[in-house]
Amino acid sequence: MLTKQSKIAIVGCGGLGSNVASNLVRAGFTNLLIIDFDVVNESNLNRQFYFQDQIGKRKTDAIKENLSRISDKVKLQCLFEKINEINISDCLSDAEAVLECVDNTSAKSLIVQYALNQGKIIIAASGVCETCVEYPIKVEKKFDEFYLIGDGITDIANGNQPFSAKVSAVAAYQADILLSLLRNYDINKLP
Amino acid sequence: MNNYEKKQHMEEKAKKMKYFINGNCKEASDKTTLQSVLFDSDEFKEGSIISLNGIYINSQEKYESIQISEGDKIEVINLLAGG
Repeated sequence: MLTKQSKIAIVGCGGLGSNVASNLVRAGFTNLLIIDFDVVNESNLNRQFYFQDQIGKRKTDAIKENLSRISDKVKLQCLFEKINEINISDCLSDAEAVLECVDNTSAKSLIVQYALNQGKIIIAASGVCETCVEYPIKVEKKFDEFYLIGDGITDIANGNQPFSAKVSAVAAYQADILLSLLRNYDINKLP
Repeated sequence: MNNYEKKQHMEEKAKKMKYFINGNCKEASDKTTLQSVLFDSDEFKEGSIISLNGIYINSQEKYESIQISEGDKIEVINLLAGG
């Protein structure tokens, strides 16, 4: 049963992951596993929850610093890893819920299908670019415990641009779904 | 085979059924597998997440062994890059 002490895995700590982590900590979730293999880049600062003086730092280290400044009650496990077919089970086996926050399609599919096979809650994102006005965000429960958030249209691979407001909005919805599940909201009521 | 049997045989061959893939209605002959339907579709590609009537189908081996029935609803989900 999901609680605020349940282990929540956030795979990818870029635009989605850094912002969803911030939302979860502020909402009182206290047990996060964050996985990323990248370092903070100047080009990340337009949408990711990092700062200028963290450029060059591992994202896992930088996010730990930032989240600890919000709350010192959070248990943060950070893995500097790139998720693949070999390590995914070791990395995610004890997470109760998985938030898919990576940026490439093959990793997205791997994470979602792993979570589905393991019966875990999986909240994924698809279509996070441009603006919400032009490409509205949809929130869908697909099947089992698979939730999909995004416009379903925009794709970085097609040259669409990720802007902070839209990326943050999708990340906020990811956190919101988890909070709703905690509050036993009937997700089948989603339009 | 007499004429009646030939007619029965032709009718069996011509039997079509309707199914839905991502909301679009399609026709297939009887005894069509999920794999055949997916390979014929424009949506299916490597990494696609597949459900049949709201149930996740988790492996290619299963695509080959599942036969489509009248009214079946197949969903092919392709996640988009960005995050």
